[in-house]
Amino acid sequence: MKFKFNPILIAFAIPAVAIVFALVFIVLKKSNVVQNAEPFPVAAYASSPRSLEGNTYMLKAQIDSQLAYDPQKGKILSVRTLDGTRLSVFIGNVYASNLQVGQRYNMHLGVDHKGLIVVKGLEKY
Amino acid sequence: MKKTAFFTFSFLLCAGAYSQLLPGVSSPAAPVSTTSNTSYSYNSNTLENRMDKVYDFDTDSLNFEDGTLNWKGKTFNIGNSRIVRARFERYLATNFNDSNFDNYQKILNQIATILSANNDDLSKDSVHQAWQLLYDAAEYDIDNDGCLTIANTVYTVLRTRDEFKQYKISENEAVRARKAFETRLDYLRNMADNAKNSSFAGASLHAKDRMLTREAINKDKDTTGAYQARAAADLAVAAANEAALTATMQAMGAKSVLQFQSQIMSFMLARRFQHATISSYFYRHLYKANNQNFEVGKDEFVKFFPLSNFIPNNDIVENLSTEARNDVREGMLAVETLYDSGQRYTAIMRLMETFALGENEAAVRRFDFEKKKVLHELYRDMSAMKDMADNRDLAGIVEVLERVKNVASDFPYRETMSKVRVAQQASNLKIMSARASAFGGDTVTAQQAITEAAEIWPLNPELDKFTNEVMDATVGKAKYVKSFDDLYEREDFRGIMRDAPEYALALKDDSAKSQSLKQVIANISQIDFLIAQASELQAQGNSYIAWEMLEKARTIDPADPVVARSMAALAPHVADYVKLLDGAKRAEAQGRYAEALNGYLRAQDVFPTSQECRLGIERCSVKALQEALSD
Repeated sequence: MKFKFNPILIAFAIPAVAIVFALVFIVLKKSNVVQNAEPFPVAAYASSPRSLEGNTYMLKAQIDSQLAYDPQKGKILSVRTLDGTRLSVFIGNVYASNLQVGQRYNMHLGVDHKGLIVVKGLEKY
Repeated sequence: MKKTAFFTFSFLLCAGAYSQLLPGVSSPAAPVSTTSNTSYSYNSNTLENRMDKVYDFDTDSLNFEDGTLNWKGKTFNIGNSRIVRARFERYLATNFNDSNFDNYQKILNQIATILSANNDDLSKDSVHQAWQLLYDAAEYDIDNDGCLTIANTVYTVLRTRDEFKQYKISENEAVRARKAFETRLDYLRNMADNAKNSSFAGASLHAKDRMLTREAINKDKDTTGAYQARAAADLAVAAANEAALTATMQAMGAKSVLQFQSQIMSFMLARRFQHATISSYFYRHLYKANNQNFEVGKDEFVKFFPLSNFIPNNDIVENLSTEARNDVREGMLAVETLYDSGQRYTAIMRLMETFALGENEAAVRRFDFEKKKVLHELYRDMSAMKDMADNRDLAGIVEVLERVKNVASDFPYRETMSKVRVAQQASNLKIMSARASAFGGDTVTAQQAITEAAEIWPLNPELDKFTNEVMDATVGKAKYVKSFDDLYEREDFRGIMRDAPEYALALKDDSAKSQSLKQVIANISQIDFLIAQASELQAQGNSYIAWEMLEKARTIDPADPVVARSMAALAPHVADYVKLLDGAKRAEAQGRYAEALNGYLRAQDVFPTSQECRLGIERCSVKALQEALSD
């Protein structure tokens, strides 16, 4: 039987490899971002939340309670930082599965234009 | 009130007038009777033994309706109550201590000693000496010219005696003249009889001789008859002269006696007993024993001594006066004792009674002026109380009672005060009833109750208050409605609360405004309750809870000044919490819900049980979520 090289396969293979590479890159990149982001300035946020608008930070915190929840988009949680301060954060449904009170996370945060802390990524520690 | 009524009457128990002689004393007396037709003997001892020496307060009395003082069954006319009160007040207000009582009394005692009854054979010089001493005693103001009156009366008697002597000489001459005329008439009558006998003897003579003799006899008869007639006429004239002189002398003596007796009775009935006594002494020595019975004032003596066949005499008058003086002296001793023991209410009662009997006595007049001043104040207070009782000025009585209580320990303070209080309470209850009826719209019952309250206590201050309330409720209704509108518009709810009852009355016909008023009252009451709670919690150390109470109060009325003051006072104790909470509220108010949410969370960390924070978190978390979703 004669092996016949089908160029279509190559056409499918190239994007697939690219996607794999991209995914690996993204995962690696993401892991670096969380690890390398600045700690969240709690005091600065307390005094002037909007001055941190658009910034991203890393925060180690423990889930304190759930304050509000929208099944479509996410929930507002109260988290307690290592120094005991409580903060409210928004977590989209992407990251909001199986979150329970008392769990500790390294959180990748951003401050939106209304001063709301938005969780952009998190991992347990 | 019984005591007060008693005292009202006792005011009238004051002393009398000077010359209140009983009717008939000054009128012409009956003809002098020189003989006594009685078998009774009322000498000094029997009289004194019969009468007790103590002023008998149970039976002695003063009746000011007919203006009399009844003392041991004897009645004195002392004048009406107004005069008596004025005299007693004048006595209390006057200081007689300037007078030299002791020297005055020494003179009177000297006179009494000279004229004492045991000096039966008193010489003219002694009487004259006593009479002169009367003028010395009259120099003292305290004597009030009593001794001068006696002296003048004695002088009149002495002068009358001299005149009597002159008349006696004239009478003797008249008697002698009459006797001479009688002798001559007898002689002429004898001569006439002799001549008659001679005519019968001439019958033996010759005719010529008989004729001559008859002619001579007839001539003698004519002459003798003429002489007889003239002598008889002269005798008649002499007898008439003698009779006239005798009658004049008797009239003079009678007049003198009556004058002196009248003077003595005047002194006694004017209750100038010492002067009456001295007058009696003089009378005894100036008149004979058969003139000792009194013809003056017999009717009055009958009133003094309601005995049948009673003959008043000088001894009785003297003893009556002496006894009265003793009673006055003992009465003043009682006054002094009562005063010194603090029983000044009783002291003034006794003083009034003693004054009524012996206002002219030295024992009464020399009463210490400082004590009189105290009693005068007490008298005025009691007099004022009497007037107040008449006018039912109960508050005034209470005020005076407080003063009197401090001065007179024996005054029936509690009894009087309790009765005043009962009357005051009765009046107040009537006013309360009137108020309830008036506010309930029953004006007829209210009017009746208020009338009864005014009858009990016309000057009750609650009456004015009630009147003002009624005025406010009627005339002032429009004023209150306008005031309510103004205050409500300015949100001065505290101002409304202050006069809530008045506004309730004024707005009772306006349901909308009444509802607003009720809401204001409810809000302010709730605020006050919360403030009170906060105050208590702060006292217990729960400052954050207290603050939350005040926060609740502030939500009811954010402009309430009392809440603001309370919060300002508490703020330093909860500054951290307040700062976070205020920041959160401010952010929430400005729509920065994420910031507000975090503020509430931090505030809740300070005060975990804060309701404000819990509610704020609930609100802001939802809002923040909505904002997040909207992006």
